[in-house]
Amino acid sequence: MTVRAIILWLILLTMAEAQGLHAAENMLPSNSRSSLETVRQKLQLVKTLLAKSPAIERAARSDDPAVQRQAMAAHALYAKANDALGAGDATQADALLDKALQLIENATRQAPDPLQAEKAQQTRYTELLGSVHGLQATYQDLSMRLTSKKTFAPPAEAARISTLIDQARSLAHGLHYSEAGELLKSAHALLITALNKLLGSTTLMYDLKFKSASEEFDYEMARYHSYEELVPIAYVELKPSEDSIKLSERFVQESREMKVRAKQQAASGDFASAIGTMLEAVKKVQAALQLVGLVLPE
Amino acid sequence: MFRLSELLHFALLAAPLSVATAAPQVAGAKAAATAASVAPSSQPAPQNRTRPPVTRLSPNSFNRLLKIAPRHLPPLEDGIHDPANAGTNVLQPPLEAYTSLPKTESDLGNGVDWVRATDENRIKPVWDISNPDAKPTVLVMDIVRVPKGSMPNELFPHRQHTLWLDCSNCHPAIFIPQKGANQISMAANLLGQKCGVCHGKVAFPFSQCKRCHSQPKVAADKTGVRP
Amino acid sequence: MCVLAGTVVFSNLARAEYGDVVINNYSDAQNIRPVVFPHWFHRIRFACKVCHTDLGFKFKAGGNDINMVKIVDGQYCGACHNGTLAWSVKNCNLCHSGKPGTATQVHESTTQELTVPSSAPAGKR
Repeated sequence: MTVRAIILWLILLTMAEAQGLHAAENMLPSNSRSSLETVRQKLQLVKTLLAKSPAIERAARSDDPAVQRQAMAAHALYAKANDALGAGDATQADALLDKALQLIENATRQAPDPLQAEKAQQTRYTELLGSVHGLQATYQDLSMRLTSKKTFAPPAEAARISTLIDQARSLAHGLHYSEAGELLKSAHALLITALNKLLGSTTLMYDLKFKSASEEFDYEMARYHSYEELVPIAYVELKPSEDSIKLSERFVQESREMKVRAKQQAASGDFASAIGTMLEAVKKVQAALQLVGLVLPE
Repeated sequence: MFRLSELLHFALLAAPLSVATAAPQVAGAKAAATAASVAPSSQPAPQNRTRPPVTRLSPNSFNRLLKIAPRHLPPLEDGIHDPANAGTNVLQPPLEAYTSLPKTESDLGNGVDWVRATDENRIKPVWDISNPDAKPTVLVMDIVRVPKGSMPNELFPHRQHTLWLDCSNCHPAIFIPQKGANQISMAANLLGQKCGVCHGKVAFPFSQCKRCHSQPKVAADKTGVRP
Repeated sequence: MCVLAGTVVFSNLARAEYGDVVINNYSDAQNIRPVVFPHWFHRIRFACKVCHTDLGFKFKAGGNDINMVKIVDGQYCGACHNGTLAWSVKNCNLCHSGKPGTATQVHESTTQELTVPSSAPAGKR
């Protein structure tokens, strides 16, 4: 009997979910739908939208009379809802406001902002161009590292990729960012396919082998900076006490002195000591971070 | 069918009004493991808390990262949703949606294996808002980073990330797409930088080291690194 | 009986999840509940790229200047939450469902777990 009950419940649940949220909305207990505070806030929202929404402004100026009518209707509904709420009928006001909001949403869809769309397309075009260039650089770098010849061999589709990019650029010059973006997406896909083919099943190793002591020193300096720039972030995120911050600042200051010393050591050619000093400097900054509450696994 | 669904939803919503007993052993619920200790609470939620209590351990004991906070708390205790809000009751509980999704063994974060869910077509997330049929061109590029210290090497797989993200989401703003150009430390990750921009917030958290540090070190890794 | 009791357990289960973002840029000032944005619900349906590239959302809780005028104008949430792809803005309480005074945050994020719980009133981290 229990098993049947469970199965029945599971069926109920699945069927209920299958209906999605639309049914759920209509099942809101009526007292929640027209809770006075919510309706008042909705009234305020509609008032603000009618006054400030660029969508309504565009709809009111639209060439399409149907769209204009919707904008006018929204205003009228707001006025009626205001009266209804004033008369104490929150349910009626709520229903009218819902209709007004629907009209406002329709107006946006029917009178979209061309400037906004163009700006979005331009941003996307710039992003895609950056990505495509990045992929080209990566392909070049990897093809030199991975192939036995250590020379740059362009991908099979190189000519087509170049053409797509050039065409995209000229479209962008003519402000046709959407079409330019589409071409770049194709170039993007071709480059990724080419990269996948070049890589095969190779795993790239980002190891810590240095060609010279000077290179290792630069690496340690960069590593130090990457920790140092975390300190203000840690203060903001972890919100430590003032005493912790004071002590932590002292550690950071000491680490900076070590950095200066290390630079001097490096300048005089003693990279071994310089690297050692930088390692100590990093340990100091790590201690500064731990002081303010950052628990590091190592 | 519409009427029936109204009835079903009403049944689900009305249930709390009619039953006030302790949590039963509902074997059918796949979420029973997490739900077993939940009793329908009749006590008011603690007033001035916005999240479950977390104690600060000393810097020497890092295992707090492994300590898993109580998962999937009931609404009266999760401190985020307002239980007094009528709309809260209508929102879908996540565990309901997760029943058909593959889970991770650790139950960290959402506890859902999102990549597997996509690979196995249990979910079909839209890739392009203006073209519902578009699919991502997935880049298969594994990068193994050798960390300083004794942790195993870390594997970053582009495939799993390019299933979900566009190149520009990470490059170049968060990661410069060049070997040796990025300094990534656990400190940065834990403070919400680098990998921590998503991991530890929306993608799975850092509590289980081996999810990323999965590659054994090779003897050759150790050359060039001074103690 | 068992069915109903089981339903009680199920409908009392969590409605706040890892990755839920509380957005409280303007809500407190407007005397309305802050918004709780559930990442999990959207992950099931959309790739990260859709919102964070196509719709322009930045990777930062509170880092996007979202307000109702922009939403109704089709920006940000309004690209879908306009009654077509997702519910319309008339359903205030479905989005504005957070506890009043909850600060903008990512629920159960790592940095949140690292900080000492605040005994200060809700709204201060």
